[in-house]
Amino acid sequence: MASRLMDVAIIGGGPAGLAAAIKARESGASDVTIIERAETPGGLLDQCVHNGFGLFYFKEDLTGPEFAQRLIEKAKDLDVNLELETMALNMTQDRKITACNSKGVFTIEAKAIILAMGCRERTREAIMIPGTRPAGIFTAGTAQRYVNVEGFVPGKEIVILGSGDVGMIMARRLTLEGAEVKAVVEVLPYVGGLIRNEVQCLIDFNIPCLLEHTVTEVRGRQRVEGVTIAKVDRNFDPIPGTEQMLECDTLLLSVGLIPENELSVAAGIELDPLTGGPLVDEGRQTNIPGIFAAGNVTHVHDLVDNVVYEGELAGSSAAEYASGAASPRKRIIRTRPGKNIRYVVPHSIAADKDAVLYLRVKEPGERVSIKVGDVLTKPLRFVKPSEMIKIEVPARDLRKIDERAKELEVNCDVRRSTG
Amino acid sequence: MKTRLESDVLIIGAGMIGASIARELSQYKLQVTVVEKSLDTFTGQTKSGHGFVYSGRSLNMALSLVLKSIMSPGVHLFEPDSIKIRLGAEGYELFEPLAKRLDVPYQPAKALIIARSDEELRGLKQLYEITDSMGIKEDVRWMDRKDVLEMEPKITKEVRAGLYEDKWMKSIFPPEYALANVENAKENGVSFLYGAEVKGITALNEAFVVETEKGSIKSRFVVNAAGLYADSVAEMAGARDGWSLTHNRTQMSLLDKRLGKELFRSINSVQAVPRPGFFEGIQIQVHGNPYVHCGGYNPALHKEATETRREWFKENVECGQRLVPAFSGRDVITSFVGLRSFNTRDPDDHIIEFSKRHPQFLNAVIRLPGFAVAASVARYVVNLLGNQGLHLEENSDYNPHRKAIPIFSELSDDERNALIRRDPKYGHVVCRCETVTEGEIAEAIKRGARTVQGIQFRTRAGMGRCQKGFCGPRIIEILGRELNIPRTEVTFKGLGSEILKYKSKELLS
Repeated sequence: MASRLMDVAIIGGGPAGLAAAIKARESGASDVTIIERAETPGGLLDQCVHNGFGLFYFKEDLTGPEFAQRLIEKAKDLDVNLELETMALNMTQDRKITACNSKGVFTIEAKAIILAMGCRERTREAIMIPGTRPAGIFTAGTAQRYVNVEGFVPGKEIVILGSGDVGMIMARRLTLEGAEVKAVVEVLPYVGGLIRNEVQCLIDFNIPCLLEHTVTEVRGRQRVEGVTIAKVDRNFDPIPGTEQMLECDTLLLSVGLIPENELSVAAGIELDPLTGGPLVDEGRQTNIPGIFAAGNVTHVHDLVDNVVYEGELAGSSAAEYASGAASPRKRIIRTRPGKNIRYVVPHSIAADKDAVLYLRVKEPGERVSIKVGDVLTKPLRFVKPSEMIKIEVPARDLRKIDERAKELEVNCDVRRSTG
Repeated sequence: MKTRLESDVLIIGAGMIGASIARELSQYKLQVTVVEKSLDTFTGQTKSGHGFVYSGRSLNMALSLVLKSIMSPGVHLFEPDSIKIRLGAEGYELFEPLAKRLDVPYQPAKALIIARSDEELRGLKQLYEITDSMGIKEDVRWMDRKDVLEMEPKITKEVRAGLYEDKWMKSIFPPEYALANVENAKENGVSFLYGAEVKGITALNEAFVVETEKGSIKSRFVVNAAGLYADSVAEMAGARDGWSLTHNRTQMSLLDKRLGKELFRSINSVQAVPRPGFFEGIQIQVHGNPYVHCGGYNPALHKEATETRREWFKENVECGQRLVPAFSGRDVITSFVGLRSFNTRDPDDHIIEFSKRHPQFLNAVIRLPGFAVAASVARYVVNLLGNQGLHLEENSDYNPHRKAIPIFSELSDDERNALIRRDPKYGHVVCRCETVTEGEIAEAIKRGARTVQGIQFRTRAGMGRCQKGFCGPRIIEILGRELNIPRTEVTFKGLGSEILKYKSKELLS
């Protein structure tokens, strides 16, 4: 079986993988290969034909395919090797990847690996919606692919469960395609996705969003004929007597994304149960030396701009590791989510390096302070679980941490009114 | 398009039982036709049966007898001469050689039954005694609490004792077994008509005319293997002879494959001693997915009552946790409801007999465990037909062997390369959760898959954790291409279940 040696191998050619490849090349890695399952690189950006991408990274308002194209061209200019229609089947701790394509099965031995497999959507089955099992139930991202790439409209009377970003974007997209979106149903007391999507996709198109409601039954034997929805109590249990029947031929689900880590787990990479992604350090290295992770495989992002930043971080770390020049980390401090913080990435930082923390809150809040240990405080007017918070912690602040401290707790406190 | 066919034997129903009978008959020089109302073999009970083939003399059969004795005290526990036990023991003997000839994946089941309370302990002792009267006591190991926890550390600490047996049960994936029989029967000349629901049966002097959606068929013998609908089919022929069917149902939840390795060290089946009307178990199918099944025998008010229920999701997770506390609902990848049928004459046994009024109309009304008895039922039925005057002349061209579609994910890298060299489509992975290639999907269509569900059950594409999120669009594309139909006509499970209803911009014109 053919085996190839290289500096950096990247699994996944979406925005994280492309950005990592570009940065790895720019940082001096000579042989960089992306293994991508699909026929074209770009990942899910390909099906995101709406705009709003790149406002931070390119300081421009781009569509998904435009954003992807910029990365693809740059990667090609830098001679990044793209193995398309190629599936990584297995990965080992000594950084061997077994992959296959129509030419056969082959092995790659890489000095460093970057995991950039992205995420998948939570399904009807995972959230246990009762009822019949007909055609006409789609995750929002799959429906997006059908509409924007394949050229089909799944149905004409749509109910969407979950107000995640893809769900809201599809509410608008399907309306523009001539379908009727009867309602977006959200179990939480607030919208799940970005505020800008709520405004531009639901409010601007008069699509009702029913908060604190859920789908309690799917009806129809062959094709969806309707759903029953009901109001929920604080435990998210349906309240008897509040049921309403909605006739529809299609149910879309936008109920969450899960980092895709089957390859990682099989290789013994430790995951954070809070993010579903690998435990990583400030350079995005996992618990296995030489294996890095970036983008949605690490934690689900809401903006591709941040995915690209993270990809670049992993790319430069991987290139450094591959060159053998990586300096040992001196003092390591673990990060820990505290009050009203769902998770913090990275999970550990080196006290002598600048760090960027990505985090999410558990509950929405107004006029809060994010406190990083007692070294840094960042006041914020609003926080929402759907909007990721990015905090830069310079090394000079980290040096203030007590020498004996091993942990850095991040808390979200409500600010006291100052009158 | 209406056809008119003549047949020596017409089998109604292409499920596990109909398929087995068809294959058994295909070794003789006969014209055999199978009619099936749906577009595929596994749409009824064959689809949702649990994945275990066990002997009429096995720990699992003893378990079902204990359940019965709890529900109707005083009945004889082990009746070695009942048709159920006889066919059960014979069917198990036939299974392994048959599975090898038909290339059906199977594994020995390592089964543990546990007791967690005084009451369950009494049941466990009773079970042990039954295995004695079955003559398999020496194959069953009594284990105290410490032994059980040593063997399987993740089993609940509440466990008091257990019984272990690994000789008399095999783990399978049910649709594969049924399909193997269909493919082999086809290869040996049996005609299968799908989408051919029976509309009426007329008895002539020495034959029947069976009217179906796909035309009428005249046949000397008719075998009713219609499963859930066996009563209505018998009724059409005036051959119901006083029995009817009742159904009950159970919701099952299938878990991510990964859990198979996490929950157990070596066993692949754990069940608790049942209490009145309530059983619970976690079992691992041959391809590695554990599933949990539990609850009472909930009555099913009609034959299509397969909708899942909120309270049963909860019940399944709680049952799973009572057996293995680490069990988590987060790893459920799909849930479904399976229906069991029982005849009202003797709910505890099968009906395999000619109708009193029409001695050439044979009812094959099989209760669970249908997969375990399919092979022996098929033999038994063919014998009955022979005794009734069907001329059984051996077909010298008969080929008893069938090769399964290669399972890419289970091959070595060298085998994979050989396959890819033969057909590059085997190098293109379509379903990433189950690692299923385009080659396997194209082959499934060549062998008769017409729907997305047909692809799923033949190749496992779309059966993984993302539930067709990524491979759904590809499967629809391949089905459209190979069947030469527009993608808007590709269905999930037959007419009316089209997945993509409109082309882009169609709703705007």
